[in-house]
Amino acid sequence: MPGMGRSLQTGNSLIVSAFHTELLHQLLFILLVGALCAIGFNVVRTVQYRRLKQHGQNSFPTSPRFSTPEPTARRVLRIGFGCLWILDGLLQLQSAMPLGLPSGVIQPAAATSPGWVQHLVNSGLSIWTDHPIQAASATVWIQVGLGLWLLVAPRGRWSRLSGLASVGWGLVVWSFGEAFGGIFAPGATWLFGAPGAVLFYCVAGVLIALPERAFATPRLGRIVLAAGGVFLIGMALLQAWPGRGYWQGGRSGTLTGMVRTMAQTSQPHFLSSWIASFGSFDAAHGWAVNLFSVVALVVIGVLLLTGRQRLVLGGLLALVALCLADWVLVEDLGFFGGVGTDPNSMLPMALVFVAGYVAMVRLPVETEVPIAEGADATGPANWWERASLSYVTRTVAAVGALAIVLVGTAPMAMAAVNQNADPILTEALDGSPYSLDLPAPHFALTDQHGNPVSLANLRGHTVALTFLDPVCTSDCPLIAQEFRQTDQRLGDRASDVDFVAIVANPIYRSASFTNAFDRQESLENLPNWYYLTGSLPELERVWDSYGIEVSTVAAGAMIAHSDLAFVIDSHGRERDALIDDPGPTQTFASSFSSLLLSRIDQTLDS
Amino acid sequence: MSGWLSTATTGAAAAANTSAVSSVSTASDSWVILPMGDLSQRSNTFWELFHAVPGSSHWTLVTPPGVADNGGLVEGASDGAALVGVLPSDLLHFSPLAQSGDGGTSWKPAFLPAGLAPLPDALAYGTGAPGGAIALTGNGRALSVSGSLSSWSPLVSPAALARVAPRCGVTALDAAAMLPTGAPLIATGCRRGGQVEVFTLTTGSWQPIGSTLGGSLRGAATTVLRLEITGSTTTALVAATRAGHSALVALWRTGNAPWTASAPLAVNSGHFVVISTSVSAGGALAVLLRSPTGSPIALDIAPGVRVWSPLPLLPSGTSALALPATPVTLDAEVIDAFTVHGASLGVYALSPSGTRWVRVQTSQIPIAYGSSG
Repeated sequence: MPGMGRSLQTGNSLIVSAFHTELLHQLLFILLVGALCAIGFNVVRTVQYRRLKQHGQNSFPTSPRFSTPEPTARRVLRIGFGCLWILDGLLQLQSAMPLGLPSGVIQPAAATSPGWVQHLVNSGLSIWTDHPIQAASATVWIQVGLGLWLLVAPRGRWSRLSGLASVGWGLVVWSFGEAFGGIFAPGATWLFGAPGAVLFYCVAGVLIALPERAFATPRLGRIVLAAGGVFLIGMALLQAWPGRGYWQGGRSGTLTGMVRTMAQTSQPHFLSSWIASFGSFDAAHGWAVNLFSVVALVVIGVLLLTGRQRLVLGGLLALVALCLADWVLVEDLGFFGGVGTDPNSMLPMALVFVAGYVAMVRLPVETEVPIAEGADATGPANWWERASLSYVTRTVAAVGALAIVLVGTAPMAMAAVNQNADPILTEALDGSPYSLDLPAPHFALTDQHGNPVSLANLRGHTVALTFLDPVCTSDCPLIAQEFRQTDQRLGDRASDVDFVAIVANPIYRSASFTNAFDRQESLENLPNWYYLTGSLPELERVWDSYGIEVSTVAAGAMIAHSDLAFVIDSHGRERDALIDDPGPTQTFASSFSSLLLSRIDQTLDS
Repeated sequence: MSGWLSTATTGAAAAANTSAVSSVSTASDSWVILPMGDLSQRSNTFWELFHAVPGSSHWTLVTPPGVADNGGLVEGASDGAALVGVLPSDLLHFSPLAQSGDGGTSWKPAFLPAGLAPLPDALAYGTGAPGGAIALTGNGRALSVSGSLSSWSPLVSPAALARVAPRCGVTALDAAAMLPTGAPLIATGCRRGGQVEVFTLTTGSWQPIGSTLGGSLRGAATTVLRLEITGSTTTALVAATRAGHSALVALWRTGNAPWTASAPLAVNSGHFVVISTSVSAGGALAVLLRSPTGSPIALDIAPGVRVWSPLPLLPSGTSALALPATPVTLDAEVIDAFTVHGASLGVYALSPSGTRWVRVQTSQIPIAYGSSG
């Protein structure tokens, strides 16, 4: 019925099932890639062995390729953020993710940001809302793939490339998923995750992508810590800024409100009680809590800026303690409730600062590489003489991890260029089409131009038929637009298809209204569009024969009628019946059109 | 022709620009339009039309069926008949019309090829010879149609009227009415000069027949909130603004005599909000204002009287007033107040002593929540 538009629940069984199926298919593909990698590994080793034999060598090379171990700071970043990406990817496996991420994460993140941020976020959001299965499953594999890539590629170009890939995807998530971490929103605060967790992933990615020689001196660590110090002082200034509600305790305090909202989300009792207790504490001592936050951030920031090892260490330990306290008491571990996508900002931020400190104090130690007797000091010239087991293994593993990223990237890219929403959205809302093979009931009515039109006249063409109220305020214009879009998407085949609507209003049913509706919906110039009407008895007969209920509702409500569409083949037989309730406008734009197009295509082909 | 009319806007519905409703009555019919339902949500705010016969304080729900009216209703009435337009809302961009000749018992659809302007008097309807209707549209123009309501044609634009009355500085078409002869009256807002501009079409050309406000409102900008013709009397309610101060002024004109104006009712801009206006069959006016404290205040004034009279403290939740016709007299002494709480309508009549409100009706309206979105 128009006006009774329903919305999809995040746990919709069809969507969840399709999501799991898609993941399973992609997992099988990834296993296949894994098998290919294993085969590739064996092929490489076999070729390598044969070459070595040809050159009179009986064993694989064992010499290390690098003269120094991987810098500790880089390893901290690589392994730490590799694990975080994998955790984020696994969080994306939640069943509610396909339908819940836009409304539960992205839109709330952008809600208080300026209009241009919301506009930008919405432009990216439509990819997800139109293709929730593809987007959600793609995100899983991109993030798991990035994590594995960082973990299995410790050195060389492959490793640096993983850092760059991490930056690229991180920027996508930061801008479209986190609305720039809320930095443009009026309530932005370090305590709740500004400037966005993923920005720290990007920082880490940049550091990993640097040449290893950048870690050879304490300079890089000092720069990271100094930049961090400035950042913390800036955050302290923002926290201290009057009029933003952070100095205020009580129920109306900004921080109290945020914490109490977090406490209400679904999570283990001990966590919610901790958070609730902190919320009560902040309500009672809001001013003091904010003063502590501001002073702590300033002091830590200044300590990091000094560059003196002992002072920096003190500041770092204090920062880690503060981050952990905030992570538990304010950020609620970041992923409880709703559809948590990452552990929020405190862990990645602490990791970057720790890596900065390590880069300052633990420099890589040069080790002497033994040179085989008779070998050239510059090293072997051929790859089969250089490539050790670990090198080949890690290279193949990195290729495999990249393949996992591509398994995600490819469908995401296809979703981005596909302007038409996935038909599964309509099926999830309205149910799958009913396949039929029945003679379509006859009708003989008058079109919008005053010409008689009957089903018999349309024989030879496939007919898409629906019932529309010309003075409807909600669903019917949307359904008409989806018919129009289907017509356009048919291209040349549209000449074999007629789109027919029959008036579904017993009062406002004259040609004046059908014509006005056509003008309103820009249908008046479509040559294969017929909006039919007739006398009330004629219309009632057609409604009855197609099972369309039409009822007049009192007190200013619109006419209630069944939202049904039929695909009738060129022989006048009903092939499909589809419920065409368009659902929430933005999410379902063009989804019904995709479904109708597929049924028309099938009918044309048969 | 005699009649009264009432306009109501409330709460979020007003904020959602669904403020324009109009009702018209003749000596034989009284009509009022009220927003009901969940006024905090436009899609769950339904505008209801009620009808009463003279001498009765029983109001009957007669909202025209067949179209969702969440955008608001506009009404034009004539002797024994009414023409109601549904304001565009959501994805509906034109205004279906409904006409009734039996007090709203039955309705017949009519077509308007445009969306009505959200103004109380955006529709004028005449059933006598030559009959027809005038509609002010959302794009700022006026359309007219002959008695059969079948073929609308352009009537006039603000630019055309601005050329006729350059002193006014026409801002927009504010209200339409029809003289018993079928001649149209169009009221416009004026940017300057304290002009209250009303135009009529005489022998094919538009003539200004308005008035000029004097005293403290000399030079004010004006907006015509209501324009109604009752018998030979034309009644107008005007909002005038000068130097940041606003006032309401009632004007009457009988035949071709000069306009007479009431004393200004000061409603400092931004402090008082007009939420309902009513015009009685005899040309009396009542206004319902929201005070700076949020409480409703009502005042009325009869033709020829200079000063506005305050009405007793209103029942809680009052959203509109009506000055219904009575079989005995057509003055402003009979007043009904309407309270709306969701789907519940309360009607209160002013006691004969004029000192308190007496509840005379309670009705539960079958609002179809959730049916519009």
